[in-house]
Amino acid sequence: MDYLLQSIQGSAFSHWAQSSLYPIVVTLHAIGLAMLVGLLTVIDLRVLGFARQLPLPALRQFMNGAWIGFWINAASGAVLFSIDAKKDFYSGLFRVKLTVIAAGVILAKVIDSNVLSVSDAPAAIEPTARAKLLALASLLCWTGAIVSGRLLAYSTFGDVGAE
Amino acid sequence: MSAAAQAIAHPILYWIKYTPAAAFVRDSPWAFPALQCLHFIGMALLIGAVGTIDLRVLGVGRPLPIDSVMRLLPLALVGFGINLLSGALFFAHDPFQYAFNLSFRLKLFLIGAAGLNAIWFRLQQSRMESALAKMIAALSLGLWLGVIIAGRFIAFTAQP
Repeated sequence: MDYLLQSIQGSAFSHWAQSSLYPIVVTLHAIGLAMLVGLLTVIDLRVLGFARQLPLPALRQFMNGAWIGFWINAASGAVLFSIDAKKDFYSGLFRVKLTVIAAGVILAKVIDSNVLSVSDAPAAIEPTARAKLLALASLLCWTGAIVSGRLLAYSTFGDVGAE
Repeated sequence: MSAAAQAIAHPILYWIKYTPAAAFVRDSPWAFPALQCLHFIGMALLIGAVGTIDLRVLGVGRPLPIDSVMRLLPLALVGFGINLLSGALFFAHDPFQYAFNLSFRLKLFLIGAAGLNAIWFRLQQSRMESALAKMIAALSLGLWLGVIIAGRFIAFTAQP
């Protein structure tokens, strides 16, 4: 495993990315975050009861923007991983981040197909308690992804807070 | 910076630098990373709400009544408030770095422009389907995108 991580980190691509792409890649990662988490947060808060006037089915169209943000971040995240493969792979924060992202993606899919696709009027206005639980879990996952991702930037092999 | 401007700015920056809040951010190993987390969460709230409104004005999610998406405005203001506060603490923790950083100055300028643009947008309230409203919405998306880019580049911009 270490050999694989070392060869990713030592590859010509990784060096090139680190020396000339790094500012652009972290900027793309922030833009993707704003699209993905921003739009999903609006949807989750609406499910939880904020801005009740917004019809839920119409909000589905904003899922596309969230998925564009997701793919921007999957791609930019892969480049960032290649720069710090070994540190990231052995970081607890990185593992937490990947786990909550996976959970968040599944929750977004479930909310999209089970909560937003309601066509009957009552459910479009007041989602069920189960739907609200899903939205709350989604918000927690994405908050966790932001926090673990940010702290990862300040960690050196796991000791968080040592700038 | 002219000598006169420096004579005014330096004592102010020096005062900011030694406020208790600024000293706390510098001395605590956790304060800066924690503020960064808040700044990104605030960004997601602000951009998510503003982006949804702008996209709707531009035609995405047509069945959504425009009046209803305007209900997201408080969310944008909460996000902006979180980021104004966390951003002010970033500035205070090292004012001489930020005040002379070109990316930071560009970011402030873009935020100011986005704010004026938002006021102009409010004035169009009764004409949300007009070409002008669409133009303002597109400008808003562009300005906030610029704010994110300039903000990220603060760390990569050398002091002049």
